[in-house]
Amino acid sequence: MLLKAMFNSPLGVAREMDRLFDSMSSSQPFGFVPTIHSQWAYPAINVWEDQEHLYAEAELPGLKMDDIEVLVTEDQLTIRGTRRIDVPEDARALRRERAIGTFERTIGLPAPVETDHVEAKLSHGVLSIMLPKIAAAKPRKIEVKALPQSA
Amino acid sequence: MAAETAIQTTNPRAIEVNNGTSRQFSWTYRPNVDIFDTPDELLLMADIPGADPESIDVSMESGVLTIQADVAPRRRGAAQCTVHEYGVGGFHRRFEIDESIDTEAVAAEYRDGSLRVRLPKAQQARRRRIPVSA
Repeated sequence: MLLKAMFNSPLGVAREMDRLFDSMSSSQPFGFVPTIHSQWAYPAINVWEDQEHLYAEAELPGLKMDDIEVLVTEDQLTIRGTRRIDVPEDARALRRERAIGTFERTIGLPAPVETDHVEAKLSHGVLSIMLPKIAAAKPRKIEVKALPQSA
Repeated sequence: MAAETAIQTTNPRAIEVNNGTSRQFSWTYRPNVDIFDTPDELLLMADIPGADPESIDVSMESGVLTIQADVAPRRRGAAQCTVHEYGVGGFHRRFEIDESIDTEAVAAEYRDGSLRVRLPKAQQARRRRIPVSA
């Protein structure tokens, strides 16, 4: 019964709670502000592929399109930008986990793309980029001709 | 209280959900948050990119603030995943709240993938400057 309750609960077995007020419970040193490090692979990128397109996606919460630049060559995709967080005036940070700073990430694309027709959109902090493959990279269906049966 | 890992782009916490009819496996992530203490309120900001705005649930119960949001899977038809660096799933995190918060006045808004929760302090808990007479 207990087990059932645990699995039915959205909290599940991974029960954990933080104290809102208690900055001491944080492992961060006082005044610590997490900064995006140039060695991080940030942002993380997922890529999908179908016959016509590549689709790349990255999570960039808190950013607007003006904060982001997407650069594409035939075989590389670069996402770069800056993340700022407005700290309210007269505020004391109790917890800071959202990293700020400048980032740049370049990945190789699994197929060459038409750079003129790339579309990028940002929705609820998720950057989605659609990259059409160049014609030569699309799989081509080869007609199989039925030869007349030789007698 | 276990010390927390300061920064991770994703904090995977596997949670098995059994809805009684079919067994499904879903992932829930712990969002990164900033919390600021100002004279009048606490401001909590959580990164929950891709959350369906309708599904975001901010609740206060028995001194616990719970943030929860569902994220729809973003699979693309017949497209195959070729690079997979992060998982997509719902978000969940809880905080113990001091009773000096005016729970009735808690307000939240979701913008650009970040959730902003304002927790006004109860009158008696606000910082006041006491004039010192010389």
